[in-house]
Amino acid sequence: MGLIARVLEEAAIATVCIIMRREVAQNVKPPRSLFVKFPFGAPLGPAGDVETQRGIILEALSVLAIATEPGTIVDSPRAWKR
Amino acid sequence: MNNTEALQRSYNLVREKWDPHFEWVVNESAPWAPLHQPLAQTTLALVGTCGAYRRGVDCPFDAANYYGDPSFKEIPCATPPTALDFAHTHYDHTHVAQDANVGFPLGHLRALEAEGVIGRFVDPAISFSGYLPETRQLVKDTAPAAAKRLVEAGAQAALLVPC
Repeated sequence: MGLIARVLEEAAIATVCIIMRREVAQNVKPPRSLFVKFPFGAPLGPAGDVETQRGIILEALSVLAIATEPGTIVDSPRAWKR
Repeated sequence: MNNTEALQRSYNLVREKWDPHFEWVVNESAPWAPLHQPLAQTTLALVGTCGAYRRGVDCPFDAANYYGDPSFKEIPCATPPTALDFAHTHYDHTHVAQDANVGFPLGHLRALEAEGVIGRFVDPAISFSGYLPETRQLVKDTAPAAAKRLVEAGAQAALLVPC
């Protein structure tokens, strides 16, 4: 996914990636990332948990709006609750 | 390279089971397209990699391909979450099967557009299937084609969601 982000940036589209593997992002280096500690298959949170899903998206959009350094990775404070 | 145990396990698994030539991509720097306006004035695209496609409309991704499927699908933003299925064999589908917004959040982005949090939600959204040990065609052909499509649709920014 980071590779797609890099191609979009080359086309002047500012990107933010939600990432689930910090080490992979550190290698691929997408420009802006939000790291979530959720299991694969649930990147935005559990099924039906609208508040968590929306919260993760808003956190990612905040990274998009305020990051200033290429390669920024911000940790989401949210923990998996199930 | 950050050679953690988890990365090494994934590396070994992919090479042993699917692609014997698999290597992690390592880049030394990140590109940077600045965001020139507030989010509320930004035209935002959704790009997902969970293999979403429209049931009975789109041809599913070739999820059984050991080297992955680098193609993408254009998903109209008005598509109901219940019209989506997911072709990707490398994650647990329990959550996306119950609630497609977990992996391809069309509903959430439509709501954020209606509330004025983002300026406009780009139509169409773009869907890839993210298991892709062989990345050359993605980087050279399909991702640039998706970028061109999004630029044509007015995208100034994009949210990328994995699975």
